[in-house]
Amino acid sequence: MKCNSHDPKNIFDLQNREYPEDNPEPNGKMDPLYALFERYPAREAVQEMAFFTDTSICIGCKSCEVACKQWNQLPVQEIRWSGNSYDNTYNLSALNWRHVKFVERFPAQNEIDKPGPRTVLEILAERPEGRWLFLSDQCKHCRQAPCHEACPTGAIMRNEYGGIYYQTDICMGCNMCVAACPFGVPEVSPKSGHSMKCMHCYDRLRDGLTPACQLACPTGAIDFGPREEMLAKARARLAWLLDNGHPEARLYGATEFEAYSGLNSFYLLMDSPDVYGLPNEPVRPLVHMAGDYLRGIAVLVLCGCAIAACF
Amino acid sequence: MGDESFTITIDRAAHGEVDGLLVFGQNIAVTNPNTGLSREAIRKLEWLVVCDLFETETASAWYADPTAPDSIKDCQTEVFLLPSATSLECDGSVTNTERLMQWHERAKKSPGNCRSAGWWIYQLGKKFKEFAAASGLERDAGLRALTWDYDLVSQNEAGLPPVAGDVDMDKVALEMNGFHVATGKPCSGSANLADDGSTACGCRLLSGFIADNGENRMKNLQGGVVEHALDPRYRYAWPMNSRILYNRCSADPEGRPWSEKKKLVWWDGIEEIWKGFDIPQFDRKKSPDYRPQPGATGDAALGGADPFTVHSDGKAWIFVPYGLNDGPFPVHYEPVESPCKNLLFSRQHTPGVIIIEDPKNPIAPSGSAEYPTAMTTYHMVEHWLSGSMTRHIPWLCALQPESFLEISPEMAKACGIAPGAWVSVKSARANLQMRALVTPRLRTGKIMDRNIGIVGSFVNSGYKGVVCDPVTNDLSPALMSPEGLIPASKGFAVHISAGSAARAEKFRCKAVKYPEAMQKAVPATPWAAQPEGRSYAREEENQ
Amino acid sequence: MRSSDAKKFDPQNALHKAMGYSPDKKAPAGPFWVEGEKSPYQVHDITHFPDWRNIIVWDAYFNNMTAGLMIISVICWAFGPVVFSRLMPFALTLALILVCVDFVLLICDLGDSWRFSHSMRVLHFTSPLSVGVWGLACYATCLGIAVVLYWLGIASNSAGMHGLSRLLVLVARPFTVLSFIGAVVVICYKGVVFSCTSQPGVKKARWLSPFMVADALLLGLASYTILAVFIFGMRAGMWLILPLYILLVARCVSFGLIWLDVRARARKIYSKAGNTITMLVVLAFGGAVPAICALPGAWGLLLAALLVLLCGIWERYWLIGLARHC
Repeated sequence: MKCNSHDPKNIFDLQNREYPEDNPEPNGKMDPLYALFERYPAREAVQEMAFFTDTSICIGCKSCEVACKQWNQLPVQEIRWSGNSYDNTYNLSALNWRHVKFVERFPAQNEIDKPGPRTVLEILAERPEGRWLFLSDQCKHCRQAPCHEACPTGAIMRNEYGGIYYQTDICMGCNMCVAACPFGVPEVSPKSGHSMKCMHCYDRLRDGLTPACQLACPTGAIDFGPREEMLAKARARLAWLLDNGHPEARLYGATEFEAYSGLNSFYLLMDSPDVYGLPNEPVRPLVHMAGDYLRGIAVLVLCGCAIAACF
Repeated sequence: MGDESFTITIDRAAHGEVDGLLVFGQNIAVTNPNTGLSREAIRKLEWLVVCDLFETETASAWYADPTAPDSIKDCQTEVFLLPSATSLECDGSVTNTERLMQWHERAKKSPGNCRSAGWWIYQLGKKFKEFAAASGLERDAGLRALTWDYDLVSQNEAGLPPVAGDVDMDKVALEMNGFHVATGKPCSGSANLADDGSTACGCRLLSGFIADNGENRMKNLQGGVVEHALDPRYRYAWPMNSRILYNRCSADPEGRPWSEKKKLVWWDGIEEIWKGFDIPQFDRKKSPDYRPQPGATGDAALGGADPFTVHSDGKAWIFVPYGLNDGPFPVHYEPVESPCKNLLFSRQHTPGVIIIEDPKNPIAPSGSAEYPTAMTTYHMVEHWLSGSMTRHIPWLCALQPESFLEISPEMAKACGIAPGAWVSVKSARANLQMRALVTPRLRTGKIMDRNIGIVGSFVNSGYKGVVCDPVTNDLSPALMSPEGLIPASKGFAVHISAGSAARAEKFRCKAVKYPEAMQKAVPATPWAAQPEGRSYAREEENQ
Repeated sequence: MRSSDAKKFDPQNALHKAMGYSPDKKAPAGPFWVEGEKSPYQVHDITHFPDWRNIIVWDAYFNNMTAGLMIISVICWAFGPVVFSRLMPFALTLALILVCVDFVLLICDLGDSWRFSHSMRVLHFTSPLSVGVWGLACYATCLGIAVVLYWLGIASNSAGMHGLSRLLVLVARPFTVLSFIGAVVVICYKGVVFSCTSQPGVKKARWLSPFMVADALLLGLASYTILAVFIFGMRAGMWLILPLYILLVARCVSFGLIWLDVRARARKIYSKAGNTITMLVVLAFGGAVPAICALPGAWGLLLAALLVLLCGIWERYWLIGLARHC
């Protein structure tokens, strides 16, 4: 089954033809000088799409991990048992673009002496002893992404669906995106030397499909669609949970953080974000850039003047 | 004829009473109770035919079993491995516990010499017929008379290369459905079947999925009505395409729905017919007021307000008055191997339990101090059944790479087992080394001043695959419930203690080397979806 | 998860071990299932450590050294005695050699080295590396041209073509100025590259950039001093003692400011002994001792410069190692 409108040999060339301001020359060659100072203008946006992952209905089946591997033909990184609940993927990496995390939350003491409930009503009123939290982690597709800002080659771009896409035929593996991401998402592949992460199933979106993980999710915990629609669903679900005995539910990334933009892959979490291994308050690294440069220049000027004064 | 249930047959095989076995798509070396005994039984056979996608533990029990005694090298079993195609590579059907029968069509050419299970059975049947014709023996009369003409003549519509000698599953489906012998027309349900030889039917329960015009309703795909979650146009559910069994109960005795939100079928008094979102299991024209005449038989003997058409009086039964050896009401019995005495009844376990008497199947006495922990077995979502297929897929093996035992923190502390350490789990039949996953999800409870815990492990492990592990069912006992003959793999008693890596290594086996052909990318995956350096050959892409 | 650190000798691992970092340091083993206790994802860094191994340390080192050397030599040439203008071609040649070494290291540090030209596709001001690479390119090119012109000028001077020589030197001046501007960019960007990331430790180091500037100037001065003393002896060298003191103070003060920012992370990553040794190295062996050594004479000055150069390596390994996975 061939893609209907693309030459599958080089999908990047096709992008060039349609979006000249990003890639006026064939890939890998130097741009003419006039492209030097260009920032990427936002592409003619088709629609800003977002993932909404509802961890309260996730069952930890890892279909999303397998679907992602299968669609993107990613080989296995390592086969090793972790002993950490059912998570044997360890973390996101160049070859793991989806990672299901497992967190068991139980009371410290199992009350093995506790008398059991005596009536049906008591049984119904009993809260479960513990909880098992699942999170299907992936690239957050930040609305203002530090990796996008830090890339020196222009390999990282925002596609017309609002997702962050890495052009792996331009990437030179400088590791700046890896350093910049506060969520620990991208990684430079030890095999090819290029940085990789969830690509938003861009090729599927271009053909009118939804991402592979969203399609594979059996419970509908991973949802994908226009951002506004996903926000509305998320808020409705949060309201329902708060009304029905789950005060610990919260949204993560649906709105802006204090020092960070919103995310185009936001979550409904059932505990504090750091329990899931997400930063509670991510910080955009570039807020400090101007100050850092100025401090450097100030010291340079100071020292330079001091040395000049010695003579 | 005797009891030919499976566990009994394995026991007979272990005593050398069985010449051979044909094992199609089952991995008896891993999923049986007391698989140590099963594998011994396999090695006592004269011949074994295994038809499976991969070389399973059953097919390799004659040489690869790491727990076998040294005498394994004297094994005389002749093993035939018939490589099987997957369900994407042949026509056929799948029936699930929703009673939904779904047809699948051949979508892909199977690799190498793989053929569908249907092809193997058809070709074997042809050979048997040849032998029967040549032998002239009385006992082969049935084979000689067997109708076995399912040659596939039409070309596959998907343009796939034809398989020589392939079986026409549509012809098989017609015979399963049942047909009128004289005309060849399909039967429209078990009500149409007669006991005078004018009809022939392979399976009474399934009868009716072929419509009168010959259309196989298992192939229907129009589904997706907006009005209701049920859609009788999608595939076929036996019997009679009713999606909810006993849907008569959704209406009161007068035929009016109990609830507007949940109604399924209702009586339309004007048109005098049952209407609804689902299909009733009885004659649509039977009015709710209908009361049977004395001496009526069959469907006519059931009144218009009797929903449970399988029962002779159409009513619901709280207990089973005849036909079963156990009953009438369910009560609590302990499993045969239990760390506890039955506190409710003087009888410890289900009466009539069939226990295989064999020196290789010792059963621990109940309440034994030697085996004070209860163990259960289950599956993992990442692996399927015995794991014979899924343990050959690196993606799935990476998700669940190793066999482990889940134990509670209290038990881990008591036995001195750290999380992730080796643990030795010993039953009366076997002693396995596994990793310990310490989790409070499995509980320890206090019963009569004793702390008794439950431990659990999954059964999808074996010695053939990209990852190899001990077979968990080596621990379970070979005994069966008296009526259903279901083996007791889910509840038995074990002893937990700290294990040793050395012992674990002793039973480690070499992982299967992943064949080169299976490492190539799926053809026609777009290049953008293969960002890993485009390392796969370009000639695949244009298929 | 990578396979364990290379079995062959790895200077980074050796030095970090001396500082008390252990990659096998076990995180708390649990119990991870208890409500209210840390989950298994809370005991490790969330971010990925970007495989900053040895090459990047040496790249930062030579990068700082060459930029510092350029700036020092231009300042000394502009404001200092005439001997420094005779030292200029030598200093610039050394700077050129160092920048070539730095280029090689920078290219080797890439995941896909053959694509190093891709960094010249665009100029993104939000990316410190982009700014730095363009600055480096401008600096190196102009420096190369200037050096060639200077040496051609010297050659033509000794061949008797004084007119041509003066012309060549005149043409070399603007290139020197351009490469000076490039060097200013290069000296400032390295610190920002590390501090404007999400890497634990360095992301908090607001004084990393000024520290790297001061340290770059110091490294440049040290190499300049070695060059000056070898070629012209103490009559050039004695002018450089006071600048050395100034820069030692600047660098020690900014290191102190960094320490205030990153001490929590440093204590987590390195042992107390390792941090103390680092303090000693930076403040004593790289600070007070060179200051004392610089006084007696040529050999003392050379020793001081050498100590400063060695200290630069240690402190960079320490700084970059702060981000290592923990």
